[in-house]
Amino acid sequence: MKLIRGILGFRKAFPPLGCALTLCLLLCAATALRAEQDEDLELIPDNVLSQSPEESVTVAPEYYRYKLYLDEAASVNIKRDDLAVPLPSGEVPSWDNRLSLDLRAEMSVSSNLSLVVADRLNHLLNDDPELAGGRLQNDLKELYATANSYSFLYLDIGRINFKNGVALGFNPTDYFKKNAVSLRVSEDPSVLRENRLGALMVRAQGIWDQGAVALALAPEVNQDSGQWWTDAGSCGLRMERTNSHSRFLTKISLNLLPDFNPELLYYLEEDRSNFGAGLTKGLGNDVIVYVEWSGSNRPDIAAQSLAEAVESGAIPPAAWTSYVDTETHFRNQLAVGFSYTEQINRTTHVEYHFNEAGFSHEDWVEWFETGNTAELLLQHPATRDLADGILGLLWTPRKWSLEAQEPLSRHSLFLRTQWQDALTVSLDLTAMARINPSDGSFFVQPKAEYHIRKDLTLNLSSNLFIGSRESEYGSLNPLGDITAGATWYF
Amino acid sequence: MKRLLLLIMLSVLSPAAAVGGSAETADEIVAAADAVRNPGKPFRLTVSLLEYREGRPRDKMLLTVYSKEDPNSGQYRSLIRFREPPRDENKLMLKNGNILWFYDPASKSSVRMSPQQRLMGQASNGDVVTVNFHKDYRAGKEGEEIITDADRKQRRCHKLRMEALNDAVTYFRIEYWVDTGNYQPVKGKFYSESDRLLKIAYYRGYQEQLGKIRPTEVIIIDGVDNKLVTKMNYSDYRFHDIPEDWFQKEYLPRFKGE
Repeated sequence: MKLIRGILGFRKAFPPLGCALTLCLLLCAATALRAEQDEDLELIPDNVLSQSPEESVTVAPEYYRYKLYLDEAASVNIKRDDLAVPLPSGEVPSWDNRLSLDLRAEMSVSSNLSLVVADRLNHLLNDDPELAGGRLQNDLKELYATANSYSFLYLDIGRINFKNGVALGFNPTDYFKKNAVSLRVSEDPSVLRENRLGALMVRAQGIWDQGAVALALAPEVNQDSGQWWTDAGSCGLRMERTNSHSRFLTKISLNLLPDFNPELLYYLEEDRSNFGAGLTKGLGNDVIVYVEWSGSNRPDIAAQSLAEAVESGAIPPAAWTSYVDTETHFRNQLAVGFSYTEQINRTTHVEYHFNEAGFSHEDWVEWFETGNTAELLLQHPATRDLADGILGLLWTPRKWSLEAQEPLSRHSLFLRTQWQDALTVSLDLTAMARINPSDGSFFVQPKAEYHIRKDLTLNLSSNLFIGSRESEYGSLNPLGDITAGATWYF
Repeated sequence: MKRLLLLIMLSVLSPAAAVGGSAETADEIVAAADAVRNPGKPFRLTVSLLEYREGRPRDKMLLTVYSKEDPNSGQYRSLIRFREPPRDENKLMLKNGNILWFYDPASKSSVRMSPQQRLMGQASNGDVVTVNFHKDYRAGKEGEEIITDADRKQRRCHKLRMEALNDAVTYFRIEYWVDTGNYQPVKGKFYSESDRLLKIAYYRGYQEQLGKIRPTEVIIIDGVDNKLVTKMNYSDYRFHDIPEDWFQKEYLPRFKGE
């Protein structure tokens, strides 16, 4: 403004010169404006502009679609020597190698009927001499037919992976998750979900503007081992893992208000009812908050795992009743958290997990005290069998919590951060951690993926279980591993 | 002579004043430009994204976008299917207002995303999905300018300043140049809430698609790292009957393509 006032004053004093100066300045301003416009244009490399437009991509009607990839992973395990509570049996291998061929395909039989198949064939090898030459394990993850009627009604029959829940690290309402992971290829829940077995079920679903309703019935299958549907051999279907009991699930998703879309679930397994709910909410452009809850009348993890071990014949009946609280009452499970995305496209999830059926701090103290006693008994040949029995009982809930994909501790924290195109082009970095806040121990998994070509990804990751000798993660063997791998997409 | 000089001067700086201006409001101009970019009826198109770093092509993505206007909000809802690269094939992203879900058929799980999270390299979700700017922004005229478009041609444009009406948008403020003759968008500069320049976009490759001359190419220059340029090509436009349930999260596992 001062400049303009100055020019006007100059124009009054020297009219012809003033006009010329005004014109010059305004022309300069116009030139500067255009120069700025041109500067923007100069940022576009010539080859981007000169390249002829891409050829039009026309998509033909699809009768099938598939995704096929080969996944190779070689791991070196870092063993922990000084375990607070020895493992009852089994040596941790020094190294593992896994080669997997993964296929997912969908085929339209007619306009209203389609078939879905998802299968993974694994070749597994480690330093166990009994596994010389490796072994094959085929996991038929899904095989089902889906029919559509009245455009909004769907009926599915077959082996279906029915996943529920809005949280990332623990899904209390994902009722079909228990025992569904047949090969634990990673500790990352998002990887485990890609590698789990569906349950044999009939599912009906209606989807409307106002929401959706799903009903699923998964019957119990004959558990006799050696049947083609239960066989744990190379090509067995392992249905004893996914259909050990009859189960029923109903799920209602409601679109009540903008960004208020709760999910309500009712799940019945044997005679035990579970109630669940889930909700997400966006806050601004970069934050999502979410909560997922489930509650049921159930025993705690120790009692439930041991009861199931008795049922399966793994431990003798009533051997454990004096060690655990068999009382059943209403117990809650909760996952509450948020995700935050930064401008650089790094997204971090932070979650708190509550499992009322899990171990309290006192339960952990008792677990280690009993383990120490068992270790002493292990020193004497006369009491070695007793010690083995106690150790078997102690490790049963820990194994069970992994299989059930439930946190073993009552309170835990989960963090996961993913950074796409981090530091350099085509490099994705992910880090995940599970923390036991009461003993300070934690599990951490850093992972780097480099997309060297559009059909080839290299990756390097490590799993580390860190903590004091008598802590949740510090008492595990192995201490960790380092894995290098590659994924080739066909 | 003085008057002649003044007239030249004004025509350089403010062509609107020289031609006498027009009665249409800034919001009407934005709505007319939206109608150039977006067909009024539900449609699908194929979007290819090619990223360049210092002029060298790197990542390429291919997407199919299905869009339909929400009768209540007037804003578009979009379902995006990833077709390339192979690692992302058949993944889906649903955008319904400010609610975004990402679905991966491999894990059968839907994950809620924030609008800021990007799945397509440097292009934001808002760059890829169909957006009616006039529903989300209040526009004001800043006169007319002759600017150079991406084909190095001079275009007389309305210069508009657009400010977000709600938090559900990708960009807080936009400077937008729209051709005065045919309402074709020519250029946009997109800013964050802190008024940082995030993107510069040039619209080009105008061709007849679905009954109107529409842009088939958008060149996006990253405002932070301007060595990064993304070229978005639109092709295979088709009107497509899109049922309402396609925009439900529960529908994502049911999506079969075409």
